[in-house]
Amino acid sequence: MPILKSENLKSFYILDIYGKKHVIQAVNGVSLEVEESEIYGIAGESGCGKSTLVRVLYGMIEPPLSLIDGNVFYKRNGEFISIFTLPEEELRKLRWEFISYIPQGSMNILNPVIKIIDSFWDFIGAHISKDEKEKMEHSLFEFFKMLGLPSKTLYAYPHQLSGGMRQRVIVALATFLNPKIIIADEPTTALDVVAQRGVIQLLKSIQSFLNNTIILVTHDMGVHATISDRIGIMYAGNIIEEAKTEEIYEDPLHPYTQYLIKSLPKIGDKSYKVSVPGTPPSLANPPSGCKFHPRCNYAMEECKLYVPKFVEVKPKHKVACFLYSKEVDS
Amino acid sequence: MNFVRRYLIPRLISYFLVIFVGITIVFIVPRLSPIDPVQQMINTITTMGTYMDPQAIEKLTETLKDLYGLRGSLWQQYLNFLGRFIKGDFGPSFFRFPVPVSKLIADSLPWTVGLLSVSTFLSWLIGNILGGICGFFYQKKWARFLENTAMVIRPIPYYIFALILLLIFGYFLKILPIAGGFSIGTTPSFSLRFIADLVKYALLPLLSMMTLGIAVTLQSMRLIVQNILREDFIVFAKAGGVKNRTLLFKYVIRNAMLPQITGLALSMGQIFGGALITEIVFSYPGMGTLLYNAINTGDYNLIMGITAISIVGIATFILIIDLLYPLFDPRIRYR
Repeated sequence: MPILKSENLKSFYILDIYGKKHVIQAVNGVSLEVEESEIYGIAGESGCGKSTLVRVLYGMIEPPLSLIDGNVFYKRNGEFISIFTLPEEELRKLRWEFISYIPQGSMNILNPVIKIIDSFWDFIGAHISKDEKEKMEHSLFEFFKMLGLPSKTLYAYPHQLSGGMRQRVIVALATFLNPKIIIADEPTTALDVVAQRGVIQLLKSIQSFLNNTIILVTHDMGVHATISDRIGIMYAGNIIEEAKTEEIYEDPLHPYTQYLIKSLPKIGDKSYKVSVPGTPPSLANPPSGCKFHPRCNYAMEECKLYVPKFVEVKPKHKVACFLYSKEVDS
Repeated sequence: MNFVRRYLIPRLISYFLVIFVGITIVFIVPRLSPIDPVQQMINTITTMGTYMDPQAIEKLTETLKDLYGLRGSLWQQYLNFLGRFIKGDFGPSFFRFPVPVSKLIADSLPWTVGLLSVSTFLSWLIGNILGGICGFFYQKKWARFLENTAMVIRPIPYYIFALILLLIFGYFLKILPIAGGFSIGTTPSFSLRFIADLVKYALLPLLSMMTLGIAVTLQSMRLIVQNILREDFIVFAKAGGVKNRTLLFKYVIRNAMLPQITGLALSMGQIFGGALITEIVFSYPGMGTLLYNAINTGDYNLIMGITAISIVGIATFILIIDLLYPLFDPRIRYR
């Protein structure tokens, strides 16, 4: 059963530069379904719209980003609600309790002039009543202990913590109210490999303990291989392939995914790795038809004219490529 | 203990160093000028037509050298000057001979400090609040309106603005006095009547300085707030559903205040120099008027006295803010 789904989601950045309108098609018709208590990975190169997609899924649409078409549904208490028709206050309440967000690690992710514990109460306190807050004070320390964080970090200022520590505090902050869905937008990108492992393991252990759904965005295929259950590959604002993790690694169908998987180093394999020819397409002026056709070895005439439909070609394996299905996306 | 050794002492040292260097420059600069104040004074007297025999001139020169602190070698003069500075003695004024400079400054200082500290602080406070709100709600129409108003007001030179106010309220409407610090004939006292009189006279200078001060602070605060709104922690707090009130005051304003607090310290220090043009336009009996007269009459002792007071004022305020800063920004603590 899906807990979050999007239908033909289109969200563009509309920039007005010296009176000339620039439209950047960051998310261009994404339809996806995320199952309950799975870890759904989104992978893709820089600038393909991964971060924008999860922002839209989270309902964080602020100018210059605007929603053009489509809808996002959350399943709450057994029924789907469309988040764009919700009043702002309702959406605010939904956040952290039902769905939470872990941003990319950076220096300034927490208010630098207040203690961690004050940040905690600002975030948590906005979603619970005063009485509940008093009861939670104790469980906060328990929670920190459970996550292996010393409780004195609560009384530190953000600048006194290391990057990995800070990111773990963020993970704790985003999961404390036990949300059903956690959206993690490159949670490990700014960290060194050891700290990365700590954060990933923390996320994984929280997920297996609390049984929440995680949408994980990263371009690091190693991270995906470690924890994602299912992976969606994004290219130029669209999801072009989606399958179980093993399936993606063992039998990639889309030529772009094939390049991606072939580029991964393997122990003992010293062969030369071929990268995708050409450069990533501009989202302000994307190619016609299948957006990958200028870089694709198998490009056919129809690829230049029509957009392939995102269809299931094998059980639970969807791909948008004319090599596998001739269906055209309208 | 750590705080004293690593924070307090270095700052105290730099405080005294700044004052020392400043005072030394105050001592050196007039001595680089080709004008000999003693000769100038004698010239003034002789051009008035007074006949003086050479012996009298000799005597006068000696006395004047004493008064100007010009006796002895440069080094001796410097030591004497430092010694007198510590005692707060800058010698007699020349344009109001023989009143000592310190007495003149003591008379003018309360006027200036009273007027300027109120206007500086209030315009800083109001400007920051308005600017903070303007920056936070930058998409709202009224915020744009407020911002544009500030943009129109800010480039007006404040003497023009002061003159316009003076014309409207003092000349056409005749509801506020045109010049002075208090009504002629009243004696300064702590009565309610005198205070009301003071406020009435201070209103126009206050208004002219505050309107422009608010516009300047508003614009800078709005810019800082807009930059802070793009910071990661604001985006994250918004994503976390932190309430708007908390977000505005605890997240945006508190962070945006940090550079503004430094700005307040700097402008508070500058009040000891007086608001030259405003005080002249409104004939306000403050440091600005005093400095103007001192420069006009070439009164070296007075100029040096006022400059020294300004240096001490600015350095002291910076020291105070430096010591208070760790309270506002935890990142500054112990380092």
